[in-house]
Amino acid sequence: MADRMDGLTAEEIAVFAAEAEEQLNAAEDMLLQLESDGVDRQAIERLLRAMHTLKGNAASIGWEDMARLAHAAEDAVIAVRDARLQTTASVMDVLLRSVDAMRAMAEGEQVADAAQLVDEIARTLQTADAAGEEQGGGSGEAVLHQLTEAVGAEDEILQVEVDLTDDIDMPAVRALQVLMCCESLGEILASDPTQKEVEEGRDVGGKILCYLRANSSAEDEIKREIRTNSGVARVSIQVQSAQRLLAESAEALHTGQDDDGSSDKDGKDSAGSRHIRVDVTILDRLMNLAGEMVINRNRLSNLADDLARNSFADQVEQLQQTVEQLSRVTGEVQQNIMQMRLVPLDRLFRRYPRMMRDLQQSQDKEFDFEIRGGQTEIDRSLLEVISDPLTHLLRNAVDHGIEPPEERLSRGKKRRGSVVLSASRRNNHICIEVSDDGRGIDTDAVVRRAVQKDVIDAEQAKQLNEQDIIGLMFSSGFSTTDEVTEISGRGVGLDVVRREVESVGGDISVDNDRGQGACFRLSLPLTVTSVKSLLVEIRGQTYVLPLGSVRETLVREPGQVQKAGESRVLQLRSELIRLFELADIFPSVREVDRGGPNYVVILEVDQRKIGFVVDDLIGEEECVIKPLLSPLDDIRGVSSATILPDGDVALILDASGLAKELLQDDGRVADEQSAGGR
Amino acid sequence: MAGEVVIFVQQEELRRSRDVSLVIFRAEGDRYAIAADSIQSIVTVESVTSVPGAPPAVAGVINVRGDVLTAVRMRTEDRLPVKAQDSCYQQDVIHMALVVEFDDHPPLAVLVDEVSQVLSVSDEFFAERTETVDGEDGALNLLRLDEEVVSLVEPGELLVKGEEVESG
Amino acid sequence: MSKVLVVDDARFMRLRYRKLLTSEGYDVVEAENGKEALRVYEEEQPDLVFLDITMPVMDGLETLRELKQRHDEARVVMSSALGQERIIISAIKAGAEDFVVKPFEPNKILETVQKYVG
Repeated sequence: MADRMDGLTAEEIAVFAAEAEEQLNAAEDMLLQLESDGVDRQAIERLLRAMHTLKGNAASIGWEDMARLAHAAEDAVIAVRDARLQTTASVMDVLLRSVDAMRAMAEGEQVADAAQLVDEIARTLQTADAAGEEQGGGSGEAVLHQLTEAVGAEDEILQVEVDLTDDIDMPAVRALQVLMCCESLGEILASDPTQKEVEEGRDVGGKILCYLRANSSAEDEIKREIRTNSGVARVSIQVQSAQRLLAESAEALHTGQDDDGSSDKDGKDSAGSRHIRVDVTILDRLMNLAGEMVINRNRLSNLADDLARNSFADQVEQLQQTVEQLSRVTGEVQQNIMQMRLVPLDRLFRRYPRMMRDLQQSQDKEFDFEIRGGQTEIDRSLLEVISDPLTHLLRNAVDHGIEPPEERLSRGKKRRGSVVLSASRRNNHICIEVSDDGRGIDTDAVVRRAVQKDVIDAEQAKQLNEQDIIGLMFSSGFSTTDEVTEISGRGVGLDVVRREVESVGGDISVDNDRGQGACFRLSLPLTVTSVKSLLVEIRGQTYVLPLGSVRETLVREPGQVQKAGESRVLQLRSELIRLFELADIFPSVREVDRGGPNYVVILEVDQRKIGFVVDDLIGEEECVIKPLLSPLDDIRGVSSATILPDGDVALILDASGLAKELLQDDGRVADEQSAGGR
Repeated sequence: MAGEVVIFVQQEELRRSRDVSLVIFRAEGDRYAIAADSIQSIVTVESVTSVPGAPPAVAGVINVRGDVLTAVRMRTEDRLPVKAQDSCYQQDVIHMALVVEFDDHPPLAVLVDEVSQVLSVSDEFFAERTETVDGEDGALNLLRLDEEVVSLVEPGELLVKGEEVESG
Repeated sequence: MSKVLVVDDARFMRLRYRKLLTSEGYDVVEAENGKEALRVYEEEQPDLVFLDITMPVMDGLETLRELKQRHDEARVVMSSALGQERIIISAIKAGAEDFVVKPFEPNKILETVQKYVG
């Protein structure tokens, strides 16, 4: 309605309408979520923010009826938050109708029943308050509400940890002094040891843990106060919002599950945290499986007794059955335990929209950012590992992928670019993709750069295919633009990204559509605690090859192998496959051609196949991964170790690391040849 | 595989005593002494898995109670690279390893032929009997015991050896 | 000048306190039992009291309680032997600021005095 828009420019109207739409959509989503999933703190906060923004915007342009309605809705949501109002169907209904009304208003329509809605909400609140007073607030939620009130929004709970100096006289007295000091600074909600324990002369050890209710702004002062006590070696304080702690207890109250106590500060989940929530059904299942294992173990020991007494056939058959059952149960136990370690990727993904929004603003680029498949589950220890690589890839996509709007338009693309972060589970691995519809990778520039940086020479450059070139981007110290921005030093981190991903047995690959966009794809194992592997023997020692990169195995007949320059190749069906041995990469592993048939394991790395020659194939096994410690934690091609059933250690080889080492080796051979020719 | 022999040092006792506790051991023919309080445990070693690409002082990796530890050798001056095919690194000689702890580095297992004794000497004895001589690799600290002279090993020296990378 | 009251039935201990503290520029007054300590405290109004636990006539804890009742502002450091942890806990609860452990360690005593009277 034109008359209502008086005094506003077209742009202002557009912004108002867009923001209103955004907030109303969010409000609607949150209301629906509250209706289906019950009271959720984050949803409520989001809802409040939406109503608050709508109220402010509407009031600022003099749309009193819309502002009043938004205000009323805000009141109602606050009442829900404070457990004064139940999210009954009629309450949700009036709120959803208010959203509809505001949407119509924002589009410039006259809404006749806006005032009625305001009244309706007010009446609902009055009724609820009256009912609340009658009941005296006896329910669990009401108690929680009282607690919330009592704590106060600005109050924080400080988790104070104090270490006492070693070898002090009378540690109990020192502990008491610290606790009394805490008491003078705030209210002690809980402590270990308690003051009573100290007074009773319980052995207190050198550590004091104390949950203190106090204003967090006094954190430093509290630290200083506690430090003045004699015998205090170290004080650390973590602020936990009381609201959050209460919200967590509320959640525990609702779900009936035990809270793991880990704080989720700033929405960040410390992926390495040591407590996890476990679905009770999984625990029950594990319990049953453990029971079955015990039964089978008992059967085995009985059978062993029988075998000792008699002989044979019957028992052997039973034995085989029992072993079979036991291995099935063991497998299931393992799977269940693995499942407990899984968390949805959303925990990590949810920090990116904000980062991308900020990037958009600081870069004068326009794009939409979309997340797909955030519910995909991944081993919790992997979350932390992929956090930095993903940050890097996303920043790269904005920084180097997405073109400025004018450039996009001149190339006939949509003005707004698009960056998509998606995750999915494929068989036994997790696939995470960062794709953009920007420039793509300029492979010519990559080659020029590689030559310029002496990563390869001009001659080699001519023979590279697209995948080889992209591989170059991941070599260390490589960079495609001289202009290194603050956002993401171009290329500087890609080698690090690759290493981090490979360190957990993952792999990275790139789809490039020059001029149209690029897609970086991380392929990660489901879990990092163990890996299905092929065990092989090389020079008398057992090595482990993760099955993820093994395509097939075959016996090598001497005649099959041809020489191609310095390297040997194997004809496999229509393909020629480069063969290599461990000794090609590590000269210390002496190469002895035993002449007889040995085996070739076909590995696939970066969509290229290579043949790895081994002396013997031992078999497949699920290998528990053990890290290699310094100084062995940085050997290319050897990622970790495992312990074999006989107790010996075997090294887990990293196929893609080997392949890359091999590529570099080829470079060295070429260098030597050219040096020799001079 | 490695089995634990004994965790023989009561750290607390050690702190209280004013004596110096030393572990005397033999490795590749030479005799050494190392401060007992840097030793976490002494384990038997059944096999050492060699690691291609590892620094020369590293003999390989061993299993110590389910952890994979880096095993280093005492003698590295001849810089012989460890061959992967010597998969059980001189197995007839190697029987034991000292697991040495560090403040800011994961533990290392030092391969030894035998541990001959654990000795407690007084501060004065220690001071009197220690002398520094010039060895081929720089200064060497020697300790004169009643029947023999042993080289004193600083745990830090082991670290340096382990961290040196293969040259060339 | 800050004034320190040393309460100890052992003359030797009082002497050592006196030597140490006067050499650092503190004024030292003494009392050899609890009863006397209360009287001296009122006369001298010291800034800090070192109070021995085991004393005849009126022991340290009793003295402390009496003193704090009459003069809440009194700052008292208990002087104790090892093994008196429980008594010290009671003393801290009764308002003692801190404690020092015999045998007499000059540095610790000075540290404590500096902490409470500067």
